[in-house]
Amino acid sequence: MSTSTENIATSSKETGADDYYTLVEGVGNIPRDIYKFVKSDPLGDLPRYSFHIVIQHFLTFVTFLILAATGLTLHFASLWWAPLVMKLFGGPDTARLIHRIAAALMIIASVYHLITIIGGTLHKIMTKKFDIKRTQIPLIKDAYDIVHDIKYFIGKEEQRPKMHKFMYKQKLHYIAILWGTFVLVAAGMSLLFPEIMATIWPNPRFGQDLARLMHADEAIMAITVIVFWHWSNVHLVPGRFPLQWSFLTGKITREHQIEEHFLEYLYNLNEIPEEREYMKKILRENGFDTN
Amino acid sequence: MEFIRIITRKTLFLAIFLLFSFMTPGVDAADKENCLMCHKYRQIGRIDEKGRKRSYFVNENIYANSVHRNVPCRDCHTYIDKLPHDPVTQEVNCANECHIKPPFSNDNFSHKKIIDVYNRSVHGTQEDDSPELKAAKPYCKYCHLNPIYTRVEEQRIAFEETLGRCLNCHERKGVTQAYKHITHRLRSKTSRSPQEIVQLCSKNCHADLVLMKKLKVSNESMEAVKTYNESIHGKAVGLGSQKAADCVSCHATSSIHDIYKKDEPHATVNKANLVKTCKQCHENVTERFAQIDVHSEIGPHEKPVLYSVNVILGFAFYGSVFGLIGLAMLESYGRRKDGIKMQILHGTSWRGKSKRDKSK
Amino acid sequence: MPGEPKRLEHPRSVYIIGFIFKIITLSVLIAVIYQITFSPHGPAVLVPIKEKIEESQKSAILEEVRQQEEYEKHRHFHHVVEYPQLPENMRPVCYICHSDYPHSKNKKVRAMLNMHTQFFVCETCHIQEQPGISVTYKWYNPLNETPKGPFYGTEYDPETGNLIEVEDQFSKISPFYRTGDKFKSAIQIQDSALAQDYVKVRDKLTPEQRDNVKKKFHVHIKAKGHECKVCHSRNGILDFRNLGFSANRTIDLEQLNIKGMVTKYESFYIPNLFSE
Repeated sequence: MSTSTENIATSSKETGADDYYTLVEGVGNIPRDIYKFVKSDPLGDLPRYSFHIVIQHFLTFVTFLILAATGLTLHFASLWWAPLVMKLFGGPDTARLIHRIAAALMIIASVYHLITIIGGTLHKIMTKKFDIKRTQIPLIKDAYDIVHDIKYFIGKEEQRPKMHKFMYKQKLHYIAILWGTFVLVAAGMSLLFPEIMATIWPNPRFGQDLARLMHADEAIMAITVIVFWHWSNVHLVPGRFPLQWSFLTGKITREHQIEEHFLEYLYNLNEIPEEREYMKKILRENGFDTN
Repeated sequence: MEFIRIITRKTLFLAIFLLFSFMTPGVDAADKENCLMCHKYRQIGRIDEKGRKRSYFVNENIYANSVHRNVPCRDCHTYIDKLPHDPVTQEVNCANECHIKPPFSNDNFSHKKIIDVYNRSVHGTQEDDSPELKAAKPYCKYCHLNPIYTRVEEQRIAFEETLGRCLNCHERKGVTQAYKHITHRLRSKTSRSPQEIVQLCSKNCHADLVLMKKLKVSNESMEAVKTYNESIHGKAVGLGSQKAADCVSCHATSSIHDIYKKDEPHATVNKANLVKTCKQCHENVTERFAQIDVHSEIGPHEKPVLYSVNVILGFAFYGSVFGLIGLAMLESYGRRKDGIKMQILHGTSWRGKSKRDKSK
Repeated sequence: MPGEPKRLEHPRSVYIIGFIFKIITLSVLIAVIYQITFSPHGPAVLVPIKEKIEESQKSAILEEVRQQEEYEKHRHFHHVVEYPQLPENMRPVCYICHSDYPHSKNKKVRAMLNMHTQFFVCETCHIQEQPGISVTYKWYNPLNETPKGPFYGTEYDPETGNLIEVEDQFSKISPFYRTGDKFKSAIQIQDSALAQDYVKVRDKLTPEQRDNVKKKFHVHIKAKGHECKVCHSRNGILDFRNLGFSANRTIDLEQLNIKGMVTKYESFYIPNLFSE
């Protein structure tokens, strides 16, 4: 099993734009734009996230919205809408409590995530299933992918680059979230426990000011990035609209998998016999080579 | 003859007085002299020689619910000695003694003690003050409009039971009020809400930058209202918090009126007293904690490092917003050109033909 | 068949979730635009334009008046209560030039005379009696043709002894010409033809012309109003009982309640009130 996986991975060149067909043994010559012909269930066809990740995402998602709503209202207290929203939360004293509970939940979700990721990685290394290409770790290939993808968007290339389970956008976002969570938790702790923080920072006056600044600025940046980038990329752009169900079902649609994570799809073909049968059928129906 | 006429007239008045004292309903204790006979009408007033509207109206129902409801008019307006009285030129002096006797005391009540505290504070008028400063300093009435008596419903403690013990010896009416008077003041530093305090200190005074500049206050004081409103205390109070610190929480002791500049040794915000001041709310306060900036202004001169961090984060913010939106739009543009369709119901969306020329 | 898609349609619940996403996205978009244009937290690129527009609408007089009213609240100490005001075009015509505080000459009683404007229109005191025409007094309310009351000042609250609070804030005692059973208002109101015409053209008149017209307005008006005792006495021109005043209130108004003054003041006088 592991040998054939390596075969597939190496048989497809990682950069060139000319390799329109990818030969998969036992399936056939798969054209790069086969995703325009396949059928997909909007709820998802192929596995992408484990149950743990779905739970973690859900926790983060809900707490993030609560944190953003309560925090932004406090931050923009001088604007006209702030008192109205604050009333919904039962006044600033209650809102502070809500914000702290949500923060605690989010930290729990983050720790849970770290445990799953570290545990899962260790398990994979021990069972020799670990493959760096199927992780969030940034690779040189991602830089090439950005260039090729932009070339495709502006019409200079015929097809999108073949990408792994996590493409450049997702890796960038993952790093941003790691950094953002670290900053927000650290600064938030400083705001929540100023007495303890005063004993830790070398200069409490500077430290507290920095924490205030970073907590607010980082949070506002996180909110705009989540709304305008994460949401629009995931749910609003054509093909994903009106909603991608992955965050609830943990599955990705076939069409999306082939389009943006072609290399991961090759792993899927290898690991899921039914998928091989389906792909064969599609190739046959559309007059492509099969074997 | 003249003498007899006066006697007759006085007798006549006395007769009418006795007659009506039975016919008219009881007149309020504070208005034995019936000043409200004229002053209870809302149009009593005039436009004065300087073109200012002066109202002499006292709403009798509101006055009866104010803290001064038992104080006779002339205890404050002492200069009135005949009717109709001459135009009033004198201000009321709040340090006057009035005919109210505090419990366990034979002295007449007066606000003199607190006025002494106030006069020593930064707001009290000093001899070497400039004329502008003298004019700008608040006087009693500026902050204290006749306060409505707040009825506090005691819930934290078993009010009736506790009061019940007092009633073994004391009359209900007096002791209930005295009891409430004390417990009310045990609850919080002031009877006013934090919002009212902030409003009072800011509006027309500390937030009036033109006035503040004229009075030549320090840069820090110029910014004080702004920096407070941007601090977590100010934001929480602005949104209705009853717990967060307002101006007098930090700048005065329980006597409220003893506000000093921070280099004065009795100032609550003097370096030596800061730990004690912060400790009113924050636990485990240390010297290091007291170094934290409460009125924090992050400007290019005050805090250059933090200011540059803020500017860089600002660029990162606008960069990420516009950069990432741009990337997402470019992506949509490219994929639409290649034939993707916006589908609302159907799951798959690559239904269209590419608009590009495909040689394949 | 395994691997074959189950269906190609989104579950309907997608609309609820999608709608929430859209709302939040849209509001954040508006927030970002606000942040860039007007918000004090951002670069505020449009604020100079907004300030320019506001600057052009500023009036020094208006600001001064508002500030003085604010200071008056502090000077007065006692509560300043906002009472409902008649719409500008419904006020009797006198108010175009004279305010609610028209009296200022007689230092001793000007405030007390002004006090009466709560109860009277100007003509009640200042009307020029004409031979052969009888004048009666009735309550007049510009918003209500037949005001029923209760009117302010007509009754005491038996519990507090204060005057009762009433709903009707606008009714005033006003003169009417009586011919037989018919009453004709003796006052100039703003929708009378002459008044409306004046308001329309007053900006076009020269100061002298304006003065002429004003004289015309005051033809039936006398400068000095009634003495106190014309009303505040038994058989005065106002029939308090008939106007709806209670029995004890009527007595107080006819005699004035003077018991406080008698006992407390060294010297007192109310001009011409009780001397015959």
